[in-house]
Amino acid sequence: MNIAIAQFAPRLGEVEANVERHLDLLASARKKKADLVVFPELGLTGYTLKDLVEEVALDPAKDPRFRRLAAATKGLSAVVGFVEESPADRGLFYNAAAFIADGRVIHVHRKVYLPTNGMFEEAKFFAPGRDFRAFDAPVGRVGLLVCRDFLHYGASYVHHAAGADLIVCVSAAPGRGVEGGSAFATSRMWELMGEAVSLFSTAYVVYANRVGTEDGVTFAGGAFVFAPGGRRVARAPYVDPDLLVCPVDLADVREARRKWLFKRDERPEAVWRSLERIVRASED
Amino acid sequence: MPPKIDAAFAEKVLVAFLRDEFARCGRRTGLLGLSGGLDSAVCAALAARALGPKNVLALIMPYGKAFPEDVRDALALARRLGVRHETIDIAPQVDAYFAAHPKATRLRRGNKMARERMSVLYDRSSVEGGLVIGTSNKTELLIGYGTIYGDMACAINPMGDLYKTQVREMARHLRVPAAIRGKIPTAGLWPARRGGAGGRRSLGRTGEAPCGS
Repeated sequence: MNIAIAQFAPRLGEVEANVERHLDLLASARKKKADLVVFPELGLTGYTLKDLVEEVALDPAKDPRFRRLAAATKGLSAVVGFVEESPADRGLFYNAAAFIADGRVIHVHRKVYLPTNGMFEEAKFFAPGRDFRAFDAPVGRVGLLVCRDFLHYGASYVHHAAGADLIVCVSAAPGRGVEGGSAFATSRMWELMGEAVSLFSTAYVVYANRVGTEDGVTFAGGAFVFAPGGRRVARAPYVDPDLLVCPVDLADVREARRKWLFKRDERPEAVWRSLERIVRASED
Repeated sequence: MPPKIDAAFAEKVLVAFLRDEFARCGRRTGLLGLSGGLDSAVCAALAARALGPKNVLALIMPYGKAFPEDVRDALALARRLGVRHETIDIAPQVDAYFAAHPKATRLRRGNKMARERMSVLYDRSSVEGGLVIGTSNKTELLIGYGTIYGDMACAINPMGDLYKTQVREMARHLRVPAAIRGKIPTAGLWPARRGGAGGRRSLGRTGEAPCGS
């Protein structure tokens, strides 16, 4: 199967325009025989939303714009980043990623780790997600992460423990550090994490990132796919837009797990007991 | 020392940043003050690449006959880059004000000059329907080495995340002439006490810093 990563610059606060852009990119990816198209974090809204958060929030089950986008996924799958406000959680806004398959939303992941330091202000405007839950999709078992989630390795561990074949991270990561190598220093950080996670999880790691600038911040691009075992199989350019298409074979997951046995020998119950003890101790 | 940079990559990022922001604002023309010094030279070179030379208006704004070598270098650079340029003497508007304050310190005069240059840039910016491009670097911004509502006033500041040493690396990469690259940093507000390429000695060596007063 083929995974496409749409690396583009969403327009800040312009949901309609971004939906159109998603539809165009979906159509292009479909022509390139993509089975899964991954869009960046907050691709429907842009990143530096601040007070706009509540104005661009939508309920994926009801919003006609979102439904139109979902309907365009007939015969394939897509991961779409947006601001979620659901009827069950009125007035709470989540930085979310939806997995849509064949016209239907089958999972929504709400970003758990909201960076709020330096230039990041997410916890001022978003409610934190509380769960990492892998799920079965037409492309395999998938674990979704949003940006900073990926840098907390417990998040990938949970998806690994749950048997994810694909760990998919959608990001709006700015680039910082221009010390050399024709890339931002932070891009190398994400790639290092991708390599490590694909090695230890023996899963595919798919990382989408956006490009463009907002309020003086340049988003770094550099989307990538690592095959199980730390083998980089595709990378989009830094800073420039791209529609990256990468062949992916789940037989590689089987082969990696047969060879390295991290999954077979994993003991989530030992981790669970240890974590429980640590969490209890921290509550005392 | 701040880390060395990959100047080609930094250029790519900053050119994309300028293009993006101008497109977002629906503007084509960038204006900047060209002093004949390093920072504004690098800025002009970046703007010419990002917007096209004909969409850059460089204003050379000497105070009377001060620093003729800087005016000469600025003119030469503007021609070399192919940007539109004009020379405007700010002495009449500065002198008109200080006629009533003949004992004003040179710090006051220096800050006033920076603000008069700003007022010219913004006046021309509205005529051109353009945006004023700031030329401050990160070193100046961090230590407050600039005049508030003077050289610090701008719509967009592409080099605000580059230290002075990194601006120098950019200058080499962008082939800014050696005559400009070799200059001692100065605010160009008043003549040096002794010698020098013009203006006060560099930060951390001698001289008073202009301040946002």
